[in-house]
Amino acid sequence: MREEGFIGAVILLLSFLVLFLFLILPQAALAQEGTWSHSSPTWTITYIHSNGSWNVSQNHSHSYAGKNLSESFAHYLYANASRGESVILDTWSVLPASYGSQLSTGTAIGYDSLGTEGQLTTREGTVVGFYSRDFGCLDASVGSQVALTHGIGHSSTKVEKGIGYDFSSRGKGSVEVGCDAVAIGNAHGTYSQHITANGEFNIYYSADISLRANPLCPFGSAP
Amino acid sequence: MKKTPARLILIRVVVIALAMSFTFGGVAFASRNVPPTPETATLTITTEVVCDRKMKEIEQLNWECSNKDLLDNPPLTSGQKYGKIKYKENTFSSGGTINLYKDFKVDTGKTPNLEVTKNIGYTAACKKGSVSHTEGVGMSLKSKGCCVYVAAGCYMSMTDVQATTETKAQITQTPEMHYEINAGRLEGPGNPAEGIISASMSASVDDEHKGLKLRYKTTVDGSFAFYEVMDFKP
Repeated sequence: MREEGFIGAVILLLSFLVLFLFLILPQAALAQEGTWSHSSPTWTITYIHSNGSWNVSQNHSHSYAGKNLSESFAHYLYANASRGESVILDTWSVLPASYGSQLSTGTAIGYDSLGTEGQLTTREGTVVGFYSRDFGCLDASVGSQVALTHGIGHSSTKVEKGIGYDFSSRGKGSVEVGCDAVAIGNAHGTYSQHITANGEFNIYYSADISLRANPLCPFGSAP
Repeated sequence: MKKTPARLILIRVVVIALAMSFTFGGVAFASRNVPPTPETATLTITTEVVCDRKMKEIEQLNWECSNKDLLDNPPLTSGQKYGKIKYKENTFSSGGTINLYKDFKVDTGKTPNLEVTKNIGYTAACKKGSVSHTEGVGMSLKSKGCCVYVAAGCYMSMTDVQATTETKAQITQTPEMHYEINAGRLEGPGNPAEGIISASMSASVDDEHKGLKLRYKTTVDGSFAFYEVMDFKP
């Protein structure tokens, strides 16, 4: 009986140890490679649901500098609602990944002026700097600005060896969405797109910019 | 008796296929590409907009690459190659409903390096309503003693239109360009669109011994169905 109890205690201890290692290993691995810093918790959720006036302003940032890679991410949200019924949800998270870090952000908004003169204005965006010896460099910013008298909107960003941005909005008012990017390696390029719409609109926008090492390259791997 | 408006002249400019064959010889020309760089980038952009008042969309790309570090240039020395693709597009609509769908793809490692497909539908809701659209793509390849430049694009200013375009350009394999535009009316294929439209392609190839310049442009004004395809292939 005493032996069984001891074995049970050891198994329990080992389980805790394994769990502990799973939790800290990714950060520890990164810490060995470089410096990982962030201005706020590695994940945040902001939720507002109101029948009155309010405004919110928030910024998150993250940076990492390692041997062959440095990266910096920033996400911002500014919103203002007057009268009507409004709802907003904004999320931010950064996790260590197999190569650098993975950023995920999401913003969802909804508004109904309920017959008043009110409106919801929001401005959200993500700015990314990614400098890698293996994949090249990328500076990119994506984002949107919306003024709604009635409608909904949603955007999400994912960053890992590039940036992916999805935006959709439907309603009345005005909307602006776009992307700017500069990629520098052995080749270099600039790209930008900006869309504005006024009136009653339905808009979907998706931008994906990825960097990769080229296996077909006649020069072999990156310098 | 029903009067036919003077403007309603059905013009069909159909199928102008422009295939350019050069006396330079295919093998020699094909070698003028710039090979893919060690690290590559891909861009995939999808845009869908429906808007009943005012809409503006602007997009531009500028991509340059070379097969070596081009220090102390110009001029290019033997074995050095440089390539560039530029793309610019803008669309503006007001006083009507626009339906815009666009796919934009860039792959600096695979061909075609640039591929854009687009669909624009527009109907004016008032007398002043219109949509204007400009698109242009250009590519250049340079090596010692040789220069290739190709450009294509379109312009339209319409009050009622359903138009599709397709653009392809490549420089990392044998240099090629394809531009295609098809414009008619919203109600169905074959019905005439209203407004003004033009499409063009130009090319120049120069080396130490020979030079070739070519320019082609079509402009139509009135009520029309329009289709044009232009290819640059060595």
